[in-house]
Amino acid sequence: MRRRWNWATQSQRSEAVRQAMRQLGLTGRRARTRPRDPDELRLLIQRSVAHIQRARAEGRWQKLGTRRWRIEFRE
Amino acid sequence: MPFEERLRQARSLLEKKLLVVSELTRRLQPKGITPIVVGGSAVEIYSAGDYLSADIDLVVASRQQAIAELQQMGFRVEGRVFYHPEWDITLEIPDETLAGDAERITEIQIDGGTVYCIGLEDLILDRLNAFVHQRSEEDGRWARVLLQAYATEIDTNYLKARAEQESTRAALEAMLQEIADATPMELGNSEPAE
Repeated sequence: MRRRWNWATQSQRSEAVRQAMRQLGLTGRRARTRPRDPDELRLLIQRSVAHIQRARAEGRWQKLGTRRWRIEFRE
Repeated sequence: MPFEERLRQARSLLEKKLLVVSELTRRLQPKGITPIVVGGSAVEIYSAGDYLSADIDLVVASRQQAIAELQQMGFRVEGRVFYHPEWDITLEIPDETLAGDAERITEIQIDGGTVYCIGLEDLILDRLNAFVHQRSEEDGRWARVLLQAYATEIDTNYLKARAEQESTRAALEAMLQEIADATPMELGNSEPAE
């Protein structure tokens, strides 16, 4: 039988779970259970490095000085 | 533009989080207190939003004064975290002391406000520690990403000296070697002048 979802009910349920997690202090990092394949890891690293380089090249993440940056969120 | 209105216009969670931190900074700085972004949110900043962090981790010298301001801003205490129901922002103050060099803190300008973030080298060392001592592969990945993305700008002498003290030097050297082998880019210590 097809399962039906009601967005309003589901949102309330999600909020209840999130509230319980906050109260239990479960807001930090979660450990992965499966180690990554070396090629997957290499690709993810290259992807993230490219993402940072693109943000900087486009001037959205702009280095103003040794320890000073400006982040431009608006286009 | 009023703060609430600006917050409503934020198009990403990172933008919203940084606006909230800049507002908290604006309120605390006249009292001589500067909140500093650490942990996953700091990775989010240096990775230009590629890393996603659910909450904001802050180091604030006076926890009590920070709590008072957060409550005035509408945050409520839930366990050890602070939650703003309207803004849907979760914030934590894991420590009152920065695990790193205060001189290396990065000042970030965002939309008229300022946010302070743990220095890049100290953040890499933090991830490296989790990678080596807690065997967290994901932290190793982000240490590697930041090392490569900022290869020519980071102070490798400082990194190596602290990594030596924290028994993470071998892992750091392996990552630096991997990066040097992968790219013709020279890893330097010099940074552009202010």
